[in-house]
Amino acid sequence: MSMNLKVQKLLNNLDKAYTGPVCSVKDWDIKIIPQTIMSKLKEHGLTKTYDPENPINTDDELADRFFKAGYELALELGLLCEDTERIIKVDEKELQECMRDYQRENILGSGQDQVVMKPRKPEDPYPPLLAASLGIVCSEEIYLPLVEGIIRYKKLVDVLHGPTLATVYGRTVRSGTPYETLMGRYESQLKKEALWRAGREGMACTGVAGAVTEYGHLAGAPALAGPGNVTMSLCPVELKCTFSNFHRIMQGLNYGHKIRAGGFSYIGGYAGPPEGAVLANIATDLLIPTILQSDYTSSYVYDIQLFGNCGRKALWANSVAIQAVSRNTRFMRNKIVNETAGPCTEMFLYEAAMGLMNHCVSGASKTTQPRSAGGRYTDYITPMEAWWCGEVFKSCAGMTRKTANEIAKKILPKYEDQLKNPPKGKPVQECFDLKAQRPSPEYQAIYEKVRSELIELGMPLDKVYYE
Amino acid sequence: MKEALLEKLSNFIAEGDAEEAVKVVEEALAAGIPPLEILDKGGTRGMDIVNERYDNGEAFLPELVVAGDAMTEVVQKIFSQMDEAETAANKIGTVVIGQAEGDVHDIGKNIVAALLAVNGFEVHDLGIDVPVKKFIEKAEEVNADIIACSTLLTTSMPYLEDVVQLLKDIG
Ligand code: B12
Repeated sequence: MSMNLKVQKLLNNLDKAYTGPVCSVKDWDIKIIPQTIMSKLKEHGLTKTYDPENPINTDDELADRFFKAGYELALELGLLCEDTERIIKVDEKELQECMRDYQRENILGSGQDQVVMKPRKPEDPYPPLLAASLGIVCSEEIYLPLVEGIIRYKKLVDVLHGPTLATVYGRTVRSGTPYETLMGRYESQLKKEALWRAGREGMACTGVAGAVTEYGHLAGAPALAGPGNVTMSLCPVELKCTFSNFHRIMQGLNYGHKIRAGGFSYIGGYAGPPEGAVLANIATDLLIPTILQSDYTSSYVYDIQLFGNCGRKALWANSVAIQAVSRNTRFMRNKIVNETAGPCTEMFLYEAAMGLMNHCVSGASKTTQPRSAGGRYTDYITPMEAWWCGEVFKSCAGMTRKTANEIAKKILPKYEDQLKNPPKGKPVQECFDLKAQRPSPEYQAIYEKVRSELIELGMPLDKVYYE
Repeated sequence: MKEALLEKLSNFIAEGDAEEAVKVVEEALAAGIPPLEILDKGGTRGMDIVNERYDNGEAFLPELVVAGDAMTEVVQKIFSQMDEAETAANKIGTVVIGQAEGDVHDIGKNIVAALLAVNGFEVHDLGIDVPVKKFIEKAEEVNADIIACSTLLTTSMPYLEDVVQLLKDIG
């Protein structure tokens, strides 16, 4: 029996984790990454190009210069394997081959629920896909109705990731223990049940949301086997990977999944200023498909001081990084917006709208949403945020970056000063009726207010997606 | 001369140049400046500079970490000049820090560890995915005042209680 080509390539890179140049994690984080990024920025004249007056970039030439520098950075750095403390490098031939052979679309799900992900250029009219939700913890007893609500509208939500469980049959789950192994399978079963209840059996699932270690994933992925489903594997910051990443991907390939691997870049972290995070993010988008064989890559820029990415710096950095890769490759990417305000607040709706409008007009192919209240509190998630994210993300397809930038300039001042202390909002039990699957009158009113305000400013939200 | 030396020291700490910082400490000691004054005026000022740069978005996590490392060496050098009682009286504290089992979210923890080091704590960072027992073993080994374990994951939270429980159970 011949070996799957992706498995072969993955193994070639895993081999390099044993033979590549030696480098400690600490040296990588505080010397190699910052020094290489800083000198690349200087070499290409990209330092201090951050433009706070124009949070959504409209300058193609700037995006292309960043791409060139990010491409060189990817080839100079590679990914550090944390387990062996060796660098997995790729040469230009491997990177070019990956860019050349990369597919033209990703088909997710099956039957009536099948959706097609495509590479998107900036201002592309083809609507991007939305996966919901992020792995926010919810109480076990509401898992089913919550997921059922989230995936209720076919035109808003395409793919299921789902909330996470901290208990299984009432018992506390401890990461990396047999409780997690049990949870992995249990979460997959609950999701299938919710898909069936919502009449969306064919909808794609992106793995086990609660799989903190590979145990949860190894246990739950087989229950979702098949080509329409996806394995998710996220790498540590910046430009690093672990055997846990390889375990998950190997398992995903074994069960015929599409691979969604990812890594994030931090403003204020090892990559330094916004411009540095842009470069690291571009390198991530190039290296992850080449090394980890992702069918699409999950990555974004995050602002360490704001615990999110809806402030000016991160909007700008994401716009430049996404445009750079979308203009110069076919690589498809999942770009997450990290809201900090919680359910039933105006601020959440503003943050999501600005972040998603930006990612959509800049050329993201997919997103995973919502990150209500930073994703930090149990039960602070409702279907409403997912629906809103779908409405905005899809409606903005075809909008120009110029219009988006003008809207961002007007909306940002409405929440910017709250970013350091965002409102937590309300738990699902207090602002959403899970039986009727409707938001509370208070939440509905907030939604209508923000929505009409954005329409007035020119956001094309007047298409009806609630069917 | 004294002022100039202490200013040099604070700048080297802020720049994260441990080697030069320790050299200046040696010079200052040779010039007869009392160890505590070196720590107070040179060290503290250095730390203020980094804190400020970090808050203003001019310095980032790597700068914070190297400044923390430089401060650690300066503190060690200065304490090596004091007797045990004096060291004990001036030590701010020894911290064992790490991310609870299963958790690899280390950016926040790294910021905290660097800030503690910059501010003169003796920091022992156990890294990520640290088993319960390891926190306690390390704390015993270095005679820690504080065990700081953190996690962003609800399913790793129980390990924080386990650390406390194990400490109680073993007395
Ligand atoms: C970046 C990130 C990752 C990165 C981590 C990279 C890295 N090396 O750190 C990657 C991609 C690897 C990752 C993976 C996962 N993640 Co994650 N991740 C995040 C994210 C977006 C940001 C975390 C961060 O770095 N923040 C920035 C730092 C500066 O903030 P901070 O960590 O909070 O630290 C501050 C304070 O907390 C405090 N502090 C921190 N430590 C300490 C220690 C002491 C002693 C003190 C005093 C203070 C203190 O001070 C810090 C500075 O201000 C959060 C979402 C969020 N909003 O927090 C999710 C989040 C933490 N992740 C989550 C999940 C679910 C996962 C995964 C399970 C996803 C999956 N299925 O694969 C895996 C688990 C991996 C694992 N085994 O740990 C969930 C956790 C939910 C929950 N309640 O359990 C969150 C909340 C996302 C969500 N729900 O939307 N993640």
